[in-house]
Amino acid sequence: MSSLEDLSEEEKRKKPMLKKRFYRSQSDLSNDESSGRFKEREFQEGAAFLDAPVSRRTFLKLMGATAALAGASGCSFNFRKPVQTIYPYAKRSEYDVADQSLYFATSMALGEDVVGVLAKSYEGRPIKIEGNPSHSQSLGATGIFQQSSLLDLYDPDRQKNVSYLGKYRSKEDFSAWLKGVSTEHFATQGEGLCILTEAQTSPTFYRLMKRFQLKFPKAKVFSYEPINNDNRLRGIYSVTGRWYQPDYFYDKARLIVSLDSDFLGLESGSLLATKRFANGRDPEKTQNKLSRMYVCEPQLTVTGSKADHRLAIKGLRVEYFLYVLVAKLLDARVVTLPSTLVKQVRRLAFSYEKEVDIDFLRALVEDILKYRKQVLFVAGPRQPEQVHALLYLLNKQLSSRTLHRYRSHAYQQFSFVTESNVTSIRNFAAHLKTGVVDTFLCLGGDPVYQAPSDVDVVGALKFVKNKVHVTLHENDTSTHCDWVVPRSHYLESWGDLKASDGSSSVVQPVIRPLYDSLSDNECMSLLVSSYSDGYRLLRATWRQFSNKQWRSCLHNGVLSVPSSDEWGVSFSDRGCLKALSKVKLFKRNQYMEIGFVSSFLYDGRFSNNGWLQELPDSISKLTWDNAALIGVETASKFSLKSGDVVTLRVKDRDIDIPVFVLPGHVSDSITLSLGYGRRVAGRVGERKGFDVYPMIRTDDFYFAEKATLIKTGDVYPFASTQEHGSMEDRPFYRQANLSHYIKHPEFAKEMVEVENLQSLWKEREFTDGNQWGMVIDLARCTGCSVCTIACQAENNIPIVGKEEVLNGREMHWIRVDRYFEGEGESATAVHQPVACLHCETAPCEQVCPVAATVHGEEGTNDMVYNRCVGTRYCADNCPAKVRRFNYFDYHQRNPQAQSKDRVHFFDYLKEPDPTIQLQFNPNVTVRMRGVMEKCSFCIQRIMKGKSDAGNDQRDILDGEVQTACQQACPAEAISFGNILDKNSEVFKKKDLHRDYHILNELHLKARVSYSASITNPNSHLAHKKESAAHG
Amino acid sequence: MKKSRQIFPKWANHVPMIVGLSLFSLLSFVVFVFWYWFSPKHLNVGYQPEQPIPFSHRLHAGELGLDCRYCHTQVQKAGHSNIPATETCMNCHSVIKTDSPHIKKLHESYANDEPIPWVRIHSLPDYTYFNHSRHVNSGISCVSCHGRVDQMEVVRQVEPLSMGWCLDCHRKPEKHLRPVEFVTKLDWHPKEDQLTLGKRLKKKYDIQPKEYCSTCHR
Repeated sequence: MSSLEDLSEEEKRKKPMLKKRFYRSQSDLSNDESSGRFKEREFQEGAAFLDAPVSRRTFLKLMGATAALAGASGCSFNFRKPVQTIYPYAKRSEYDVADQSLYFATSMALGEDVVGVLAKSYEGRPIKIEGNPSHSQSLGATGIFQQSSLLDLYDPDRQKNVSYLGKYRSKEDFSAWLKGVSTEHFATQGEGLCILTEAQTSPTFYRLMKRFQLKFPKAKVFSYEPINNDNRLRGIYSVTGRWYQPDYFYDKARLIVSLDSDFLGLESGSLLATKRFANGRDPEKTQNKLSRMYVCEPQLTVTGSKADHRLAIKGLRVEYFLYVLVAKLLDARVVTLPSTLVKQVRRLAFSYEKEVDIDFLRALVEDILKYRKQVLFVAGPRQPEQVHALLYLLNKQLSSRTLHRYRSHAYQQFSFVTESNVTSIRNFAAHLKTGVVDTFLCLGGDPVYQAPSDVDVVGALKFVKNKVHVTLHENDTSTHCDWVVPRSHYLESWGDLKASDGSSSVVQPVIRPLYDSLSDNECMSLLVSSYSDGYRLLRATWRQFSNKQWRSCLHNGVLSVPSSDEWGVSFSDRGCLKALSKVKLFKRNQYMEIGFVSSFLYDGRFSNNGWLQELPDSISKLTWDNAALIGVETASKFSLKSGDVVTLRVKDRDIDIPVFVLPGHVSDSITLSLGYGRRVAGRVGERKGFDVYPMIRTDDFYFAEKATLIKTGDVYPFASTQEHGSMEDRPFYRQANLSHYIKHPEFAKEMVEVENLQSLWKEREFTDGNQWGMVIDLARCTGCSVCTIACQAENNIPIVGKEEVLNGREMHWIRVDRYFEGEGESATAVHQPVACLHCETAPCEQVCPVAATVHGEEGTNDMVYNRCVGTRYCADNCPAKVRRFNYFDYHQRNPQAQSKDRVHFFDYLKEPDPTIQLQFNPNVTVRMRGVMEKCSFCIQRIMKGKSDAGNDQRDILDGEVQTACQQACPAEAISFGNILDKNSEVFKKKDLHRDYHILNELHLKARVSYSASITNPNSHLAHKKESAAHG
Repeated sequence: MKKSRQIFPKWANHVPMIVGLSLFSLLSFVVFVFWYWFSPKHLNVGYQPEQPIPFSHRLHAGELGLDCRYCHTQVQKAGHSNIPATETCMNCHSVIKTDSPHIKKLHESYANDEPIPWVRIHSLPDYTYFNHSRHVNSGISCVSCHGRVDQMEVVRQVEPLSMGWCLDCHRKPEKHLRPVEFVTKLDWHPKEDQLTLGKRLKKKYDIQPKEYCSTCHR
């Protein structure tokens, strides 16, 4: 017993001065025991054992089964490998070269967000999604949804065939029936027809819709998306009288003011926004003229964590803040508003003025005056119309026209497009209840699950005789429909999409439809046209192209360029005034509010996607769950801890949901993320998390007020990775403000605790050939986590499930560490992606007893799976904790795995579903149980580059080899290449003053280095913070 | 009769030696079994499965003198050396020997667009990645790994394709290098000493075979 040591530990805990500047979680900040769990042991105690204790009975059962299997396999014991057959083509397809992938340009829609992608096709099956550099919304980048859409294509739980009342029907049966319906309703002008669709952006769809409305003038069409941009669209409409979609140029702005907008996170258009924003925050590209960002938001978001100044403010109060701000600007005479409007704004501002953080406001006004004509205001889709209307006026007066563009909505002539989604779903239910509808067609979506709780979709559906649901997965709505028709995935159907900037792109199939499915366009055409061939429908829309032009369109994936800007339309103040006069006044801290946000499952449509389920949320780092996010102050007020289950009640609605305490969350506010807790979703997504749609009503669609919160006493375990991979308190995240950086450019390098370490022995030198290295620019990185998903798709990384994440066994090769900075509701966060550092003096290599991890000649730390015996010494010795161990054969433990048709000794008798196997990258070994793995610098891509260059007898060009994370990153934060090549991008990055290595005290000589983050705070507010910091 | 105090007979003295010897020989046998019989040299060399169509490489590549690349078209471009599509066979066999029952199978495959299930002979483990194009373009002939296929009526494996065998060549490529234009000429012999030629070509083609793990394992 060393009581002295114990005492000092105890003292350390009590000492307030030891509080860190950067911390991983609330329990890390208070240094309580639960956070120590992952600090002391990367792999939890008992991690090497089976997940459940084995009883004697099961043990005997297992032994018996093993013995029986040993006997069975002995019968057909064969020394040779099993006979394999090779199936060459009977007729070769064009451009086909075995094991050389082809890329096809296509595009994916998510709500109104359209992103052009390149699908990598290997021997006829898509295995990876990359961004399409020629598409205006992608420019080569992808987001998490694009990356993981691949898994949805191969999902074995997809709706596989047409069914009528649960019985199998062929696609032809359905087509014949639908054509019959069409002729039947022609006489009544379609009075009994009703269509409910997801947001559509396809020109072909609207061409068919036009014909549909001509043929059936009395038929009703509705559109519903729970996550939408209605308020922005309608707000701008209220002042301009035009359906404009804004396009903001964050790279050209010197000052960005975001009001509850997560434009870098999950909002539509975030890829382009991230790229532009990162360009404006790059100290080299802007020559130290960084943009400055102010963010007002209730819950911490990715955007908020990149802000220079963040004001935690309740979501329902953001608009009041705006009124106060506008009043100040009116005082400063930089904006002019019609006198009636001025009066109204001043009245609203006056009532709220005293509650605003005056320092924040003063600094903001000062900056607006300083950066006039370079200011950009942006508000989130949850903010009411009048906020967007006012922001439109502000943007027009305070920024030059190069900062934003307004383009007319391409489909504004369709009333169901311009009608708000809330009105649409309400009218839809009301229309069904009139009883006139006898045939209802639902294109995608899941209204039963996603509709606001006061819209009784189930009850409305009972009034309809024929209900058709065209859907990718079986879900709540399809259980209430008679006809369930599989919907084609975008990777297996023809189509076209129009992005919000007016550019059109092509959707082309990369694989023949896996199941008997129909696309939305094909369904529409069955109602209006004589044929339903997706390709013919598409070609008919784009008839103006000659065959030669068409081929080049298909090659580039782009059908038309962004439409022109429509700046300069005069506005009317009447709409805005009307909206403003409706505003009700609140008093501060009176009520608890609930805000609804999108999640990594979007609105729930990705709930059966294991990659997205297991991807830790950017801020809370939660996997497999959503939670009621609350602030630190609220938690102490109600004496709640993360995991405590509470009953949330608003008026007559209530749900039970556990809370998760998150620094940076405003007090008296709760954030609920959508998309979880589905009752019908598939084997992966069913009953994961909590369904929060019951809390939404049509009158409080984005925020609910007057919520009450009652602790139930139950405790729910959360699998949050926020404390995993802790590297203790060493300075990994380094950041400084701009003025400090200009004075001390080498600040990041100087933060090393022990400098100039010498080795005891002669070190291996890497002086020729390609020496691979990587730089991650923290000034550009936003923490969106697409690198993790891109890596997962490229490297056959399995999902492990919630139980295993709780044990700290998640397999992601690149994790995004998130550290909080500051305390309570004013906390903000920083993000740092960490993958294998590829140390030249790698500690892992020195302890491997079987030389399974060794250094390559090109500086990569290689992992030889077939040598690994699973001692896990390497993981123990890895200071960055980036090594992942296969405790089980996770591919076989996946809920979608199926029994093997052959018997193997020491095996789980299972294998991934055949369709899932199609997704695997054939150039990366699928790892078995008992094997260590980690980031390989995408060695398969390096080898491909080397082989291509070698066959052409040239050197590898800079940028020819891109890692998966680098290629996907929308912020272009990752550079990779040959560090010996002085012209390479990575060399230039490593040459920067702000380049630094983490854990340099260990003399790792890591190949992965970081560029320190540079912030640009207002000097009046900055004095509160230290100038340079580390985490 | 006086009972002997010895319980065991005299020959029992040899038992430890006999047991020891037999244990030793058993052990050696087991070692031998694994060392030799379980090695690719024994398990894989000589593997000669029956193919769905008894295609004769001796006839096509040997007597008729077709270049390997007439059928294996992608060997210089791709990591995988392709098995030809039925289409390639049909170039000639749409008119030649059309009444043979085996050629009829070929016609069927072509007409129904169904592949012919050829049996794989040379197979590497899943964690090993071999690239044909890098070798063929560097002057390693097909014959170095596949033997005199032009003399085989039925193709069989002639080399063990084990890791040690791979490394032998990666350490001393000059033993096998030849001018790139002769890689598919299986009966080609150097006019000078192979080692002198190999060393010269190694310099000329800048051949630096790698031995680190991720060259083949990833």
